[in-house]
Amino acid sequence: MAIVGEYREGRREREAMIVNLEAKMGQAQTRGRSRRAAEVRLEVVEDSMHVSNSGTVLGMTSAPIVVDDEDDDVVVSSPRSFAQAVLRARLESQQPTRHAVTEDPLELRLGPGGGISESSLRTSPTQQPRQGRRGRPARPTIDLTTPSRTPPVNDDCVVILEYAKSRKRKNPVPLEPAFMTEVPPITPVQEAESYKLNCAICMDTMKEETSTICGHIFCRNCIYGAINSQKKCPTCRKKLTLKNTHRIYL
Amino acid sequence: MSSSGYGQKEKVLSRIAANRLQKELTEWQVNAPCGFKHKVTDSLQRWIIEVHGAPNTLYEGEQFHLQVDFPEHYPMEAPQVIFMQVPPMHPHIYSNGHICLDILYDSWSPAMTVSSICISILSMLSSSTVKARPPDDDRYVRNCRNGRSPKETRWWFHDDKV
Repeated sequence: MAIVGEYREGRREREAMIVNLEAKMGQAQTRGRSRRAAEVRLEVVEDSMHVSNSGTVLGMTSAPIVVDDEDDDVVVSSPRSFAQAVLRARLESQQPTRHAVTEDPLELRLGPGGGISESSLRTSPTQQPRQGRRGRPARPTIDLTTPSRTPPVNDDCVVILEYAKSRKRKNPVPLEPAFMTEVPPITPVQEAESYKLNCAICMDTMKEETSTICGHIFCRNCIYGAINSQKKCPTCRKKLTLKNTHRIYL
Repeated sequence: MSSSGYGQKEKVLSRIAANRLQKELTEWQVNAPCGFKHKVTDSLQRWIIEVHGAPNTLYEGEQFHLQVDFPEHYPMEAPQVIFMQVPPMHPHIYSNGHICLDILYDSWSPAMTVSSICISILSMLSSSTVKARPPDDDRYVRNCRNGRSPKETRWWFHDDKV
């Protein structure tokens, strides 16, 4: 289990986060989770509160802080904080208006913009769209724990592979298989034409570009033939074996 | 032309060799090396090239002919390059037209072209200071009487000044 908290200024967010954490704690308890996990999470709340109260936020106003409590040896807790948390949880259970928060399942969020405050944001209506670390709009996170198999609608995922954008997905498919199957085969000829490289041996367009360790590029078949016949680089005459070549991908 | 009779086990060019030679010929027609002229023949496998002695050298105003025969696995193997009659008087060119030039034999590289060979030969001619046959010309030509290819000769490249 990982807890992702955020140092934020402003009372509303802090409250929202506490609410969220408590909700989760309550959930964990009802599921019969270990009490220790709850204690650790409470400690996180305490810390974040403390920092924002004192106003010395060490240049990390919006960066998510990930506290991973998988290591059982490290347990930081105090009876006082636990008692407080229990009290809050009880108060919480008496206020039905805030129960919407608890509908979110306990999530492990991965990714640059991930944070549990995703759910807590909904409790604060005046919240502005969050900004990422470098001022860009925060990316939606890919939630790996939700049971649904539909891929998240996420432009950032598609930008990496340009052709993926143009293709229309008629049937939503699981994310990983989609990456495996949607890559169209790029033939070596197409690849080389975009760079307009000619092989010094065949003088034709480069096919399956292969570099020697001395840095000269030829077609794969051409350099293999040259090494087999001469055991030297055709350009600089360096002694070569077939193992001294690398297929390169431009 | 006695030089055309050299017995080369002529095998038809491989597809790779033919493609490459076609490209070389196209490139030559666009951008021929200075002082050379390709004489059109019906065969891609044998080129006849006219060589003009460079100005301000011993061979200024003279004209020679190179015969270039391409092996089946060109450019992995070097082409056979000889001067047709009459070869220039040069310390590295035998009277039977054979040329003692390392890039035609041991130092051939598949990245070389007919064009680069021509430039090397013209450079070799231009740097000559004396018009003379190699000292062992008689002996060598006698040994090659049966029409041996210069590629069968075990060359000894001892003089890098010319």
